[in-house]
Amino acid sequence: MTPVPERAAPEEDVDIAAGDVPRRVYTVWRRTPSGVEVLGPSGPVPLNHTAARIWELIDGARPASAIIAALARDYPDVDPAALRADVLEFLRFLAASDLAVTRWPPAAWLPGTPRAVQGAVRGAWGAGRGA
Amino acid sequence: MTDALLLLPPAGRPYPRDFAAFAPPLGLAYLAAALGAAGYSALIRDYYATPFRAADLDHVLATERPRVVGLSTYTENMPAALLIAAQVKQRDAGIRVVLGGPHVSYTDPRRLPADTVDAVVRGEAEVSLVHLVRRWLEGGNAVPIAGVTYRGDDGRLLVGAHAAAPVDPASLPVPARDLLPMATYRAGGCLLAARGCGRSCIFCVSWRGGGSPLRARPLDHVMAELCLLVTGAGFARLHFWDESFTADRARTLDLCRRLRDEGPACSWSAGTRVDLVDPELLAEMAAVGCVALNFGVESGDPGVLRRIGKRIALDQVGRSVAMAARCGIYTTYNFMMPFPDDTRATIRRTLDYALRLLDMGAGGVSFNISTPFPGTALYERAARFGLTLHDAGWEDYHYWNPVFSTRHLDRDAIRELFFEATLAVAQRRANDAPGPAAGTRARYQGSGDHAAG
Repeated sequence: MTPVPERAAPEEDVDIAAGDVPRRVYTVWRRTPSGVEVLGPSGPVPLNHTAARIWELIDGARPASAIIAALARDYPDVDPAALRADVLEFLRFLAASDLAVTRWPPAAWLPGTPRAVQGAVRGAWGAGRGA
Repeated sequence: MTDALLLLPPAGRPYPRDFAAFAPPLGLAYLAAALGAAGYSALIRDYYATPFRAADLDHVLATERPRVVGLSTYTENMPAALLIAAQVKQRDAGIRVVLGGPHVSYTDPRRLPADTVDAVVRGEAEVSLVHLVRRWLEGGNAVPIAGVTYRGDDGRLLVGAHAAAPVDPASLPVPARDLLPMATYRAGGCLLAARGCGRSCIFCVSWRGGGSPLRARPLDHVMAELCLLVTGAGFARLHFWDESFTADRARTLDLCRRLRDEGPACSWSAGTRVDLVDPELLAEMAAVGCVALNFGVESGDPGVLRRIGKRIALDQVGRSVAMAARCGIYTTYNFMMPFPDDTRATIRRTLDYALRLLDMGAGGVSFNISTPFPGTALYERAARFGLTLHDAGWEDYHYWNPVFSTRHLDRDAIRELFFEATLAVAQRRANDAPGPAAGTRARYQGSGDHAAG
């Protein structure tokens, strides 16, 4: 499905698990006939339709596993293991390009006794009007 | 033990790698100074300027043992504020947690988690926060406090008048900048000569009650603080953080005279309106160090300008470019999109106009999305303006992300137009089109769809 990025990301950026919640860093983007175009730190970065679908699914609340599940519904004929690997690799590519981060909020934001605070995180992020 | 630990929580979204905090949070520094003047000790942590780590906050809580933690909320940092509030309560449920800042000033405090937030202060809080801290630390009857909603000892919610009376600017202390990491800010030498602007634009929280009245600080206070910044702290470049620096022409001229007669040598910048400058005033300002001015124009379409209550004319904008250039003052102009009546045509007209300003000699132009933040007319009267607010987290409420659509433009159209404007401005700035990120990633960037594996 998706390919290998040309350059490897720094070690701290490539670490991603299916439960991590990725989030966009650059939020100026537009749809194009061939996918989307993201205005990144060095200019516009075009993404094809599949990459665009992943980009749009990165909403800061949806974990990578949910993004993988959504893609699996879109492409039922693709081998699930290959699809999973491709999605994670694309998320690493976005992180290496500084267009997104692989997990949000950062692990350093969460204190050592996480259960209650994790609840606060779930309740706070993505909660907009009325919260 | 510290009486109050005041925190600026980090934004609820990641910033680009090269992000650096622009200006110190003067609001927190004013509050810390007000608490200090009342005899309470205070500390500040600015998590826009320094990375937030829960372990560091735990350390501060353990070593400083604050009795009150205050969190400054802007809409985008509201999730992080709630996260920190939960962490504080987890560390010590006895610590009182109070939220302040623009976001909670205009949202319903009853919706905040009762187990982590003890109080909300609305509006200017130099007086109300001191009352609340005194009530908490010294006891006494639980009485309503203007501008404060807080939980009494019996758990009952006490709701004071919506907002405290505007603070007398003559009573404002010198902000406690010594509690901030001043060396980390790109524009550390910021100060306020006045609060309020007297206007009521629909995209600003000041629209209520006909606009927040202009309240000038005594010039003696401004000059004393300016001297502290320049001669005491070594800032050669200052920025007046006023909403409309030249709103009172006579006073601005008085300030220029004071700067000429007794001010330390420094350069400075400010923000103001195009209808509040003239050649004589700009010449006086330039003569005493003004090197840059920023103007809010918002739209290049006269009809849109009229309907958002901006009350400026485009010929005033053009004149301001020429007037400032004659004085050697660098000018930048801000635009927003879309307003309720904007169409593709009016936004393209605005972009054309912005680029024309660059041709005329403006130093820079920028575009932001007219995000309807809580408290603005755009938010409070969204339906009347024909805006649809989409499901989005507070962290997504910022100037580069459309969380709404209008009668004329859906979110995709807003994204497309904003992209076009941002790119056009960047291209003008670079004087040629920025290319794609180094190294073409063909399989992601090709025009075909690779989904089939």
